[in-house]
Amino acid sequence: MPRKSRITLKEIEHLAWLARVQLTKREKRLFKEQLSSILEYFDKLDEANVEELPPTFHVVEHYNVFREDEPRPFPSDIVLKNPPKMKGRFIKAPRIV
Amino acid sequence: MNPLLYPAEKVASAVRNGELSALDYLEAVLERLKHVEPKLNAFITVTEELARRKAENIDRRVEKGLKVGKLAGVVVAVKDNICVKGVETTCGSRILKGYRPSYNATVVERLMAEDAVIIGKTNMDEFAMGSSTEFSAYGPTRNPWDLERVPGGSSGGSGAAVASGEATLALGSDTGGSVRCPAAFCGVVGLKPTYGLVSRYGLVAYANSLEQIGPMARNVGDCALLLSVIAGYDPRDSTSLKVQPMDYQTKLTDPPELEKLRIGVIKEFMGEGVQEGVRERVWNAVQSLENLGARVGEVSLKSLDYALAAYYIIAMSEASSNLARYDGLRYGFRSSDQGLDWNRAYAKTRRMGFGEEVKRRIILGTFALSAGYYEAYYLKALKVRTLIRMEFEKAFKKFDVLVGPSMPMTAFKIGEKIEDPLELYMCDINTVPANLVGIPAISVPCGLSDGLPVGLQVMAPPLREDLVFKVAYAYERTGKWMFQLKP
Repeated sequence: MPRKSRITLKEIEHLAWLARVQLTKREKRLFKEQLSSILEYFDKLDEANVEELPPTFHVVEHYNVFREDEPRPFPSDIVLKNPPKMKGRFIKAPRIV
Repeated sequence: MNPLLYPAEKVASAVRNGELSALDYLEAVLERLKHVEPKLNAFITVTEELARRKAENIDRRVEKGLKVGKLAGVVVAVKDNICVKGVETTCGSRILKGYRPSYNATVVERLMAEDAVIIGKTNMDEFAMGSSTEFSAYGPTRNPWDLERVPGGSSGGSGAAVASGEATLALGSDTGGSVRCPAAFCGVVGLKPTYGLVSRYGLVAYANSLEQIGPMARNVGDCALLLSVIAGYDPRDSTSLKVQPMDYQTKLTDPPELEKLRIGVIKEFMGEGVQEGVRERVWNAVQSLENLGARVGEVSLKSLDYALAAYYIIAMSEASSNLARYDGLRYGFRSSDQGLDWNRAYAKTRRMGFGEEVKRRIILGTFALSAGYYEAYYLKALKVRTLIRMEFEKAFKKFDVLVGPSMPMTAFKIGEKIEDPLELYMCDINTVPANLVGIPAISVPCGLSDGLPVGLQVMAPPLREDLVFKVAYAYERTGKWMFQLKP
């Protein structure tokens, strides 16, 4: 299994783009050191012999939970106060292309 | 007795009988709040007027002889990641500045139905990511016992509010210890319930598979009362358990002794890396429980060595996915995006809206879930989670409850650990196992070390909150710890 204990500046920039979160120059430099030492700590899991065990995604047994497909009232007076940029009753989004 | 020191149950019964006006009690709490809040910064929002209206409404109903709820007049502080309709809910983040939810969390509905008076929204580490409340966009909260120290986190505002008398009770949320850590550091009682016992509807998600809303109080009885109000099945949370509601308070002394109760002290919680004074206080507490008739033994859970790494990988992975929703469009903060396309506008809003720790976790979580690393990190952590579960199940065959220190240290200085994220993560070493396994765990004060509170942690099998309360209550009744109002 691939492991990493060092992370490069370029990889941090790529991850930041994937997560759509810009980082400042200072954060990039800082994270390079910090994330590397955190990943090194995570290598501890290599010692655990768990290959044969099933993963626990959730401690509660999960099944699909459905509800009736019925409309419920929607307090638009509060909801429409929240968007920072509106035009009439529409939310103004950044351009797509 | 100063009404400020009344247990919640006494406040409610005095209000119900007309001996204490809910408004008078609220004014006394507000006066206390105005006196200590400039020092503590425990609240992000104080909902003074809403609280007054509620208190007046309760008083009017008492006057008319109408029925009032179990928490009539009891003043409750709510962590700022739990939605209260129309009241700003920031999660301690700039990105949610100005967000006003259009609905109440289920726990808030239940508080209101029992006539609790909500006094405000408490400070927290941004999106509950932290163990010191220093990672709040609204400034750190200070520990009422020593203003130079952290109150613990991430529910540090709730812990400080209860310890200082700014509220009778508080709600926190616990993803990896965020209720138990501030309870231990501030000298109050805090419970993380069994996963699925308390509805998460209206709790802003950080790591869904780990977190629960939990009660915080000055004593075990109040903590049990608050859990009785908020626990129970909710169809709006698909992970909610279909269990019968229980009155946890009546279980505290039923049966009254600890005769034959088997208590396992977790060896790994008591080793090196635990402050000497903390270890001593916890051993003394265990001794007191033994004197009450409990049978004490030691138990080693070897897999705990991996718990912290597994926890952080899972929590960060879930966080990176959950926090993708913050795009600045529908609520909260949005940066200027003139000339930027959608992706760049989105990335810029998130740069300015999120703090450093949140970004660290989003980046690491994105990494752990990315192609090529998913198996080595995320999937491996989930398998380790299974291993830890199995070890706990085995331990619970030999012992009814497992105990140890809630935190390996007492409250540290503000700024002391903030430069080194890994060192800060290490603080959670004793609290994360209960979240990975989904079991109930309480922190109950068990004395002071160098003048700072120490918390005893008690864990039990799923849905055995009655057992953790019983042990905590039995310890509390020895009188070795009495709640002290600070500062």
